[in-house]
Amino acid sequence: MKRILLLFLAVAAGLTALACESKPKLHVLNWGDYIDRDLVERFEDQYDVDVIYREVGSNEEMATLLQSGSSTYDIVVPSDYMIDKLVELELVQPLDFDLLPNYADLTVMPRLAALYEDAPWRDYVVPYAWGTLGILYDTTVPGLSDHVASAGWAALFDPAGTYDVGMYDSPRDAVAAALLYYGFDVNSTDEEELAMAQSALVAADYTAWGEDSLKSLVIGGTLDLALVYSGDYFSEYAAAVDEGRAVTFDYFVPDTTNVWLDAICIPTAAEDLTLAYRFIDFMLEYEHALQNSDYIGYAPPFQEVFDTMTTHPDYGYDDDHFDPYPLGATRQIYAYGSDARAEALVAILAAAKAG
Amino acid sequence: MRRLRRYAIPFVAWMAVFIVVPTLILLFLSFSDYSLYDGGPFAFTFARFEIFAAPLVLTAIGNSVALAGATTAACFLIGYPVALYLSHLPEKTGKILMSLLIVPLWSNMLLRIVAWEKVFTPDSFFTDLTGLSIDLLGSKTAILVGMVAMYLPFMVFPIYSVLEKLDRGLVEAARDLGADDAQVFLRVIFPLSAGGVLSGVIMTLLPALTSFVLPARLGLGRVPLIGNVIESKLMKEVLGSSGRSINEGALVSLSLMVLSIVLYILATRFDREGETLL
Amino acid sequence: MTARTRKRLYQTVGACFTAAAFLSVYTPIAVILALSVNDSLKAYAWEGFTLRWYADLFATDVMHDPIMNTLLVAILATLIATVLGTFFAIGIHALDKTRRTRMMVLNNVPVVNPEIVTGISLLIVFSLLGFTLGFHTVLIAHVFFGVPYVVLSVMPRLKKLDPNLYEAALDLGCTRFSAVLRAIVPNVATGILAGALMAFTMSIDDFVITYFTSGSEYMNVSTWLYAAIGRSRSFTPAAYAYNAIIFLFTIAAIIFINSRKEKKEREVRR
Repeated sequence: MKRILLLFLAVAAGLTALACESKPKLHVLNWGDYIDRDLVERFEDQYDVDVIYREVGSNEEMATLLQSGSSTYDIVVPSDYMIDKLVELELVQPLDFDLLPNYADLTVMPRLAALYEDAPWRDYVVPYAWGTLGILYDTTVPGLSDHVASAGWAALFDPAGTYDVGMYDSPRDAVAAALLYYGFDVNSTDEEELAMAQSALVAADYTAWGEDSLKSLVIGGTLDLALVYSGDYFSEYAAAVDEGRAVTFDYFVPDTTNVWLDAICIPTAAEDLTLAYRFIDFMLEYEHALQNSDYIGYAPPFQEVFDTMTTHPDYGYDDDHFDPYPLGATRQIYAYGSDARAEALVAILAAAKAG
Repeated sequence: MRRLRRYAIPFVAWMAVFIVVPTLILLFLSFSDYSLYDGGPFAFTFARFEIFAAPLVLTAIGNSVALAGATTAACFLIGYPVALYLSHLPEKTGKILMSLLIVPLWSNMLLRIVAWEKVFTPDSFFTDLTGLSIDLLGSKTAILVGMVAMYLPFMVFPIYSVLEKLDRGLVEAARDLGADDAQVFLRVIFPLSAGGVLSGVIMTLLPALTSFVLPARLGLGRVPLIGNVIESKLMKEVLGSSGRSINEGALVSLSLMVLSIVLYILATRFDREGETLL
Repeated sequence: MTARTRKRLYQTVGACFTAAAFLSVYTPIAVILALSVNDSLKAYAWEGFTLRWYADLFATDVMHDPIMNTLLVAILATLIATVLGTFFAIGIHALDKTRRTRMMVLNNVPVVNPEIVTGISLLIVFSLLGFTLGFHTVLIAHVFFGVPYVVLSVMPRLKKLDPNLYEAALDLGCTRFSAVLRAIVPNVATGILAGALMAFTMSIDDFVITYFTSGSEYMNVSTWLYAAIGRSRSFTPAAYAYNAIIFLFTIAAIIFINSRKEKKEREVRR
């Protein structure tokens, strides 16, 4: 017994010693799979710091973590509408762009810049990646390619149930798909339009409600098509090519769709501002931005990086779907709207899932 | 011996901090519109109870009761004969088999769920290996099978522990008094093992009722359970519902806590100190 | 039917049920073992045999932190919970019957409470105390749900103990504390060990409570997996390999313990 106690004390002492030996820490809150860890390590070496990286699965989870204040973060990467809300709640702070010299060397893609230049949060963010909402489908199902291409959003809202369809288990995205199906704006607050969206979602009787799992379900053959983000398609495409598997799926983007933007913000409660700015500026260095965008595989927000990725033979991102906002298309970005609307979206999804 | 009582004092303090205090807070949140994060005025209200009328919550309660009930019943119907059989084996063999039945619990729960996903997908990795093509993903059957496989050891173990200690003399005595097999079982063995059965039921029913990863993945998100409602209320809906979703989540959690304590108190009628919970 | 055929019938039925139980519990384990040697990241199909995920487990540091975190918390939490639980059990045992029953009800609340409720409760306590979530909050949480299991398994052993043992030790000149250590603890050692094993089992596979009580700095295997599953770049089949190693290790431990027992018993008989 005594020996066990001694051993225990020794382990405890060792642990405390480990905990005390500490470098400055940078706390980053980001999506899973959403940064090249190689760059993080280089940043750690260059500034002799520790980057503590936490991954989350949804904007809501990110907001909850910021709101609960049980941990502090120096960097967060939320999406458009959530930034809108975080600014309103004063959970993120305006950025001092003078502290980001590398930002001046890059140009935000004009079409993207136009999408958020009037947003109240434009001075709070450095864009990180952007993309579309679209339909991932199984190309081995006969006739499905033509069906998706001709039906567009309607392919996701077929009460007849010819195909097995998966829907994103996120109030905002599911309702947006339904609104787009009727040709309404993704930010609609019109009660009648929202009611129509709800009936469409209820009538569709989905085979699956999921998040990250939807893409695997389409490729694994459980689903024929599903609503996904462009990044879901790109990551699966890269994985299939890497493994030498046949690509048995494709991504369809209707002419009018939502475009999302994830951007770097600094929380109001950030502890180490200097380090936070250093980190952002580090990621904005052209070479780093390029390497990171190539790693995550989403469209970069900067024209210079985008051009290199689409034209340089080393990268070859000349995929049709790579540009989230091609000429002639219509793109809508989310706004948070009111709390009442957010609650209504949750209620619509709840009704759809209750069946 | 009595002097050792003082070791119970830190226990009471420890339990007070981690059980009594949070329970009071859950109670407080359930009956008010006080926001955990924003503060704000406190007003007593029953409004949170409206959540039990929401269609999704009703569906979730229905699904939970049906699935957790079926899981518990299936675990009992399979688990009891298994425990009985193991208790009749030579002690050492029984113990080894019992521990082998528990070993899979050391495997990660999420990976076991992923494994079931592969099993229930037709024309998958599992098909390549076994030639079996099972199309169950998204069905209640899939959830049921997954849950039974996950919780069965928790049913077998307490029953086995009781049966193994059972005084064989009682069985012999009953036979000598002319009882047939059915009577021996119904009048002697089963009543004496009731404590173990109840522990097994508690250890199966409550986790099944509140699981949220398993139904989301094996049920393809189509079969919401109470656990999914709580997770969503506390982790996903916090913004945009004026923080009230936390209060609603607290109320649902509190109700489950009451249910579990009621079940437990029922169990103590058979076994006053709940030792067969293990 | 004669008694003998009946008995055989019962045995066959029992064996069938036991086989079914083992099949259901071991199917996912077998699949995990197969996934750990499948030469494919996404495992949509069987792509051939490989051991590279095992090599990855040791070569790359993808899973290094989650694994170390899981093991460290499991070991520390088990040690602390075992020490605390043993003393608590001794204290509760010394109470009169009514109080003891009441204490046991309190003790069993975390055992019967749904994990999700325990997780939320702990989260609330930690935020009230102003703790930053992380390693220490997860450790406290794991100690918290480990203690009741230790108390539960030590208690029956204490009851079988001769109540005069402790007094006798005191009479023989032991101090109070050493009397506990020398007279009581060794006699309930099997219970302590069983409780420790239970606490360890609960800790190493815990997802829900860690999910609610870990902050930005801390991830165990389960919370890491929950975040990584479905994401092709952060997920690695090395997770299956890790799980397979844990499984094989446990099986080996059981065989080892049983063979030693057998050996001892044989020696005793001789």
